[in-house]
Amino acid sequence: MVKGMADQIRSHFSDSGIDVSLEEIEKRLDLLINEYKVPEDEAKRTVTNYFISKSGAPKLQFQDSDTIMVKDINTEGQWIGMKAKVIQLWENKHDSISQVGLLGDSTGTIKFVSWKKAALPLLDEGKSYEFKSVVTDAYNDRFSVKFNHNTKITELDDEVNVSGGDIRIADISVEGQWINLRAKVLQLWDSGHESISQVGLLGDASGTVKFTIWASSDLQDVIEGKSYEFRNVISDLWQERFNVKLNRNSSIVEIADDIETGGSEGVAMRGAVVSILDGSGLIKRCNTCNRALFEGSCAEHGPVEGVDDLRVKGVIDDGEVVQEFLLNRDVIKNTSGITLEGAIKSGQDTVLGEIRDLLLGKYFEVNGPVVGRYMLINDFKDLNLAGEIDSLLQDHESPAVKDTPRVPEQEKNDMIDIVIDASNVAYWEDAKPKLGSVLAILDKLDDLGISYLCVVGPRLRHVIDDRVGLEKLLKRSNVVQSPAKKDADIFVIDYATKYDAKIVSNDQYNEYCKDHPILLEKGRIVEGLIFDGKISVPDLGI
Amino acid sequence: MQEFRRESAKRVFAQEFRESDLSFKESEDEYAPKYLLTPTAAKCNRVFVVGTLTEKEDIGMETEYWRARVADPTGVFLVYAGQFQAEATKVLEGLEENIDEPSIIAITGKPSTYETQDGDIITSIRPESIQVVDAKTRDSWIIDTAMQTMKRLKSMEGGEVSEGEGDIIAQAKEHYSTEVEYYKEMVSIALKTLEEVGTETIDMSGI
Repeated sequence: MVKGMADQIRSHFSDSGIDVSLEEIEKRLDLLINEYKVPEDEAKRTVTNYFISKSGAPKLQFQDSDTIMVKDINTEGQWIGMKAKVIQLWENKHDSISQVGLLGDSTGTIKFVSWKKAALPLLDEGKSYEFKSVVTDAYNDRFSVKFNHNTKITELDDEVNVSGGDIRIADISVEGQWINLRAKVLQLWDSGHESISQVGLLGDASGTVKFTIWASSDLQDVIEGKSYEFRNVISDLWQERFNVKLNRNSSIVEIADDIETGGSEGVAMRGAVVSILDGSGLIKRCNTCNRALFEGSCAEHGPVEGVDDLRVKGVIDDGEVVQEFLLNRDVIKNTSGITLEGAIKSGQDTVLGEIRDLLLGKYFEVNGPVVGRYMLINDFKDLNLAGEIDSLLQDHESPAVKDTPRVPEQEKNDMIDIVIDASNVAYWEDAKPKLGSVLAILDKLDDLGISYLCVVGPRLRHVIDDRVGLEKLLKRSNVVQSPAKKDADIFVIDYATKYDAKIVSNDQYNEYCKDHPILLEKGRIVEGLIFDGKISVPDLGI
Repeated sequence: MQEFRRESAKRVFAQEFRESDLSFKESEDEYAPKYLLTPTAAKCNRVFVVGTLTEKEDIGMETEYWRARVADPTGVFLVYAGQFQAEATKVLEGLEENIDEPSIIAITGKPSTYETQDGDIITSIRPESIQVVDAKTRDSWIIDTAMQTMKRLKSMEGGEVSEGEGDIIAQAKEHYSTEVEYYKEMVSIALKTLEEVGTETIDMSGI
């Protein structure tokens, strides 16, 4: 840690043609951080300033850094200059901070922090400035800039043209990012809260994402089926899924193109439809905002005439997991032939009867993104479990039986060299857990002939991109699922202890280190990454 | 505030369901969910069953109150539906009783128990929904229920389980003195009825 920081400081000086001893820097950093418990940022700053004054270098010479664009910020601890607009000032919760918010230029946006100690003039939202001698910082791979008492701020007369990144839905991978989307409004849902003006689902060719428009944003209402450019929306992460929020800094422009929507990262589930809920069949939606009406009234716009629509709200259940789902007009039509026009002609009672006949009490394999409490089914097909009987009878370790983490008998005498924390590995490639990531490492280990046990946490099946694939994986004799309601980490650690095996995971299991000292052993936990589709676990030679 | 969570519908064969008589609540709260614990330790707040309607009768005095018998390969579920199960009652009422072509129905409902004058406990289902389905769905249910029952049996035989599951299993074992072999035999009987499979080929010993 100290070494890395010292290297950075030294290279800053050598960039300015000043030679400073690495040892000297390290010694002082070490003293401040480890002896005096000074925060790392502050230690770095203190030591840097010490050498600046010691070298007699005029401060400006060292800090007169190039003006760079937001997208080019890629190192931490770099002194830079930038021309940017204050897009937003955020609520400040820290006494040590004067202002915090978001800056932007034509290439992107970045968070800024202005320390109170720096005593800089206050920035106004919406104005553009030139900033000199700000320091870049990184937290969780996201960059920010910090203002200090060497920072110079000059207001610019010309407004800086701001553009967040234009991004595809599937590429949303960081929360709190300001982005622009070109997308189609696929669905509008009942908002259910007065602080929310609209909520629903956006789609582009790459995927779908939930969106929320805050009532305080004063933005126009969007209409289902139309395409828009959404500018300066914020990505957010909730229950392991991304969504986007639109606030008063966001804008919406309707576009003439019909955005093509395609692949949606769906979840698959198999089970029986155990209930068709109220609000199914023929419904009316508000003419203005598309909310489903309740007794002829829209929650937002009061009693309205309404527009007819057809949908199914139901529950699918596999005996363990319960999932509410929605079928929209198009899916109903494509799978049952029931059309809105036909439904209006035959009436609600008949339509509900047809829907029940079609779905209720039957087994299906369904597919679709889970957004909030609902799975938005875009594909469902009949499921005939009769085909499973052979494997059920032959496979003594049948999938259903093998849910609890038992090490299969034949494995007990063998050595297990590696325990894989599948619930961690699944996230190596993407913030959305991928089965492919787990399969990638298992395949490599199989190739290398390394014996392993793969532990799957009970929650993974609810979030994985390929649930059916995961169920298949669980049939393997060296893959186990840890029981529900219990922490999967404990099982990983217990097995690693029992077999004196390495753990493949990017988790440090900090909260368990005290009770499980083996975790602290060097090389016990093996980290890896998946980049560009290729898996890399250097410690295993992969 | 605890979020409302819908309870999943457990898959239990009729024989096991009829042999269940232990119901309980997990808290004193009036609205706390009620569970029926079965001999293989299925903790049921709700069940999903598919079977053949063999008999139905309106046994109500002043209002409609239907009793139906629904058979699976291992036994019979008793189903009682009255005015508070309007939707299910309507479906039941409309079904034709035909010995030559009986209806196969899927029922989602709540387990219910009552004690007779003799002190016997009768277990039945109060349906939330009833729907006519086909034989293919019935076969799928038999396999689904066989798999889920075997999974519970495996846990009972000493598979590693979570603390909560362990408590439930211990409770079931104490109350019913569950014989695992007996319920394996039940699963075997159910599977044998699926005609694709020859009756002699089933070896349940390893399950």
